[in-house]
Amino acid sequence: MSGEPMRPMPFLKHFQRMLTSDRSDGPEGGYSQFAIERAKSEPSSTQTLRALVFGALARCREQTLTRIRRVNEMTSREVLAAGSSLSEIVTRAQTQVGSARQALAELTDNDDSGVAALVDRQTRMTKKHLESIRGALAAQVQMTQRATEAGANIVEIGKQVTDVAQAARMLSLNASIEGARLGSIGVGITVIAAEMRSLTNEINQANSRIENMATLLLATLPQIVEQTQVMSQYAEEFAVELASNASAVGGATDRLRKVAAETVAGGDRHITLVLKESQAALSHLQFQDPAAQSLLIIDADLARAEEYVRQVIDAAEVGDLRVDSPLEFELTAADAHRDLNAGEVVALDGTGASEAGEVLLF
Amino acid sequence: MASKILIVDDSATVRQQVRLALTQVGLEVLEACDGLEGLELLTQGNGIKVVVCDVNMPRMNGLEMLEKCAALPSPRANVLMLTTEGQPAMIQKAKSLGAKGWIVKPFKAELLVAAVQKLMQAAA
Repeated sequence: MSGEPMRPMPFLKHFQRMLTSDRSDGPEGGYSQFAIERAKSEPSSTQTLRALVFGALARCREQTLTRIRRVNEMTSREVLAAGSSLSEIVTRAQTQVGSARQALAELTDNDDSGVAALVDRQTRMTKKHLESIRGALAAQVQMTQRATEAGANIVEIGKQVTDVAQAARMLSLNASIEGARLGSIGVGITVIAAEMRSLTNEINQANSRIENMATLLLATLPQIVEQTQVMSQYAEEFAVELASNASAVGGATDRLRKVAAETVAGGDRHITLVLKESQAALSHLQFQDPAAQSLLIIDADLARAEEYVRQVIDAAEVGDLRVDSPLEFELTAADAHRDLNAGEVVALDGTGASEAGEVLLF
Repeated sequence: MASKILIVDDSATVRQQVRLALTQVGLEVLEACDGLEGLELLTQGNGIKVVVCDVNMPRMNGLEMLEKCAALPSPRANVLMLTTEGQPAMIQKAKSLGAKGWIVKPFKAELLVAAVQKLMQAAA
């Protein structure tokens, strides 16, 4: 190429202004310093111009890509953190609902392990034992009454024994008199009569003790009957109270089961809502990926602009500057992907016929 | 071995969002960051029944992976494409390569879950 100075063109003026502006966010020393350094290594004017322009463009792309990557890393990090928090919220909600469900099941299950079932079983057993106690008390009253009758019979029999003993005493007295009247021949009769009198005395004493005990027994038995009747009364009252309480407990356990069922259903409804809201939030968080891809397209656009400038300068150098078509920025996602080819992915929004969120199952 | 879903996407945020949507309904997932890694996991078996796959990825894109999957022995996993792309020609190509569905990003989580569950049932 010739070393003649090149006539400045509008787009080159723009780059020259940019190169000499010393922007604070440009390379160290500003773009002008950067261009001067490049110009020192490129002595001819055309080469200098190329060095200035493409050096600046390269730095622009570098800076832009660095910033885009920084922004993408930051948004990706924040979106990942938000997603993790969302996951934690859902997990905790599911755990809480699961714990509540388990606790309520322990209270209300119909099998033997449920508290309500335990209360039901305990109530039934108490009623059963109470019936047994009432039966035993009634039997005790009857037996006590029979014992009272037996005691009365003992007293009557004791009187009969006393009468017999009295008759025997009289008989022994008469025998003693008859033995004395017979003299030596009646000595045996006198001895037997004395023994009979002694026996009747002992019978009287024993009978007296029996009478005393029977009297005491007869005095005690009514008290036992009275106490048994009092116990029966208590048992009756307890039975009435138990029936009332059992009904209340039954109602309470029924309500407990109902509340538990409602609580579980409520928990299910809430967890369904939490999941629904979580999924909605996930949908919102998806802004990051297309946003990141759109940002990366800026770099592809800059590359396209750089190529456009190169073509214009090439044309200017040969004196055939005819730019028929404007700079196009329409890229396909695949083009952008190939342009980058460095692990970065680019896709364009709205390039296809299908709409976002559409689901096609073949 | 439990049935699993393989998520193939180079975007960590998309993988996370898909994973959260699927695991919240009790599905088990594996992840791959591009088609090559996804193909390796599919080759190993791993009980994968459904693949949720992006199209534009480095090293091996989703359509290339789909093509390679056709060579894997049966039963093959059902593949659901999840991408920002929506050109009919590309969708038709994916269908001809054996894809069972196509979802355009950004996706609605409940629709993704429903589609995956339907493909899980079809694979059962």
